[in-house]
Amino acid sequence: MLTQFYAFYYALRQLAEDVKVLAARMAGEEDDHRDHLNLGPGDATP
Amino acid sequence: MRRPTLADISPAHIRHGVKTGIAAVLALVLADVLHIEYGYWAVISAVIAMQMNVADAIEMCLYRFIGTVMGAVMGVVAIMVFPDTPVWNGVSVFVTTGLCAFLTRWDPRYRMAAITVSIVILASAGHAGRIDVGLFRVLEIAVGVGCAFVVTVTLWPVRAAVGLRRDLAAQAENCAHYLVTLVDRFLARQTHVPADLLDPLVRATPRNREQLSKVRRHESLIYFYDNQPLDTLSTVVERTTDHLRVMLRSLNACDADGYDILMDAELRALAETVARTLRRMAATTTGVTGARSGNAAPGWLAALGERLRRRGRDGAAPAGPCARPGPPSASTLPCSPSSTPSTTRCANWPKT
Repeated sequence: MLTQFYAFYYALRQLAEDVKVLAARMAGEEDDHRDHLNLGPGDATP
Repeated sequence: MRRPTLADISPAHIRHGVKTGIAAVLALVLADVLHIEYGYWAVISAVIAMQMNVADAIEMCLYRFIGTVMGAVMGVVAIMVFPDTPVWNGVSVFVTTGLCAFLTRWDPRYRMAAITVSIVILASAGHAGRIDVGLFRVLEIAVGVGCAFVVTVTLWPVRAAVGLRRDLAAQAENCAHYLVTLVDRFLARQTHVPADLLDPLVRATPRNREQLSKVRRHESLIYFYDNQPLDTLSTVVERTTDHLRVMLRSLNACDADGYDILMDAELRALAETVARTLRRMAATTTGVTGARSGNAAPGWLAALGERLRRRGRDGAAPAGPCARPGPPSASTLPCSPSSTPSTTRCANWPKT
């Protein structure tokens, strides 16, 4: 049960991070902290 | 199978029919003007090369023309190598078509070459000037392909990039909708959702990639595109779909009627900010080329960054163990049931 809570939260969190990086790229900004190759996969297992 | 009705007829298909007819007539007229003996090959080529959008048409024109040139060259070589007798013509057809079929492993255009080489060898059998037949085949195909290309590009051109942009924008909107739905259901005591909720998005992913590849390889040859916005939006949809699938699986794996989540407001706000960002990204990719809007630092991007920073600063303690148990019948998780709202943390939360 706990694992499902964690997985849901981390997937949401990871999604927000990815969207932030890609939105910055689309706006013509580069995010120094994340390279596009490091975008996390769907696996949000903590 | 459902019978087609008048409502199924779209203006795009009517335009495509008109364009194909015009390309066919244009090829016939041009073949007549150039005194090409077998002008109908030009018409056939024009009809085959006509496609609904510019990217597909260019791909088909290149496929047909290059395949024909390769086949004509092989045919001319075969004519020079093998004598003009029925037996040797059969042998040359066997060798050349077999070779083309083998080579399709590396290049599908050899399929077209096999057709051309057969025509060149067999149509010229028993005639003087057999090599001219091969050269005229190339000319006929070139006329047909050229007519199809000109009509596709000049008459109501349908760009694949435009359709892709529209599809991606709609999919990004759907992603935003599904994200809010999943978080809402998660916060509503982990109410389950249909397992196939995201199937349309999952199915769209390979189609998007294929279309993007066509835009890059073919349409970019004749139109100036800044492909990065489309590329980025495609990645956004793909990534978001991946994460949403994890969220859906996790949600449906939870016991239904489970827990109230103490961090309800924070999670909802984060989801809404991400959803808003997705919608803005879809809206920002404007115009037929998907060109960027030019805003250097959009406010919505800053809002998402701030939301993420705030979540990180709060210790990133999420929903699970800090959940407040539901009604007494619900099972309890290893955290204090008396926890007060969102500032409460469980000792066993990992720090992120």
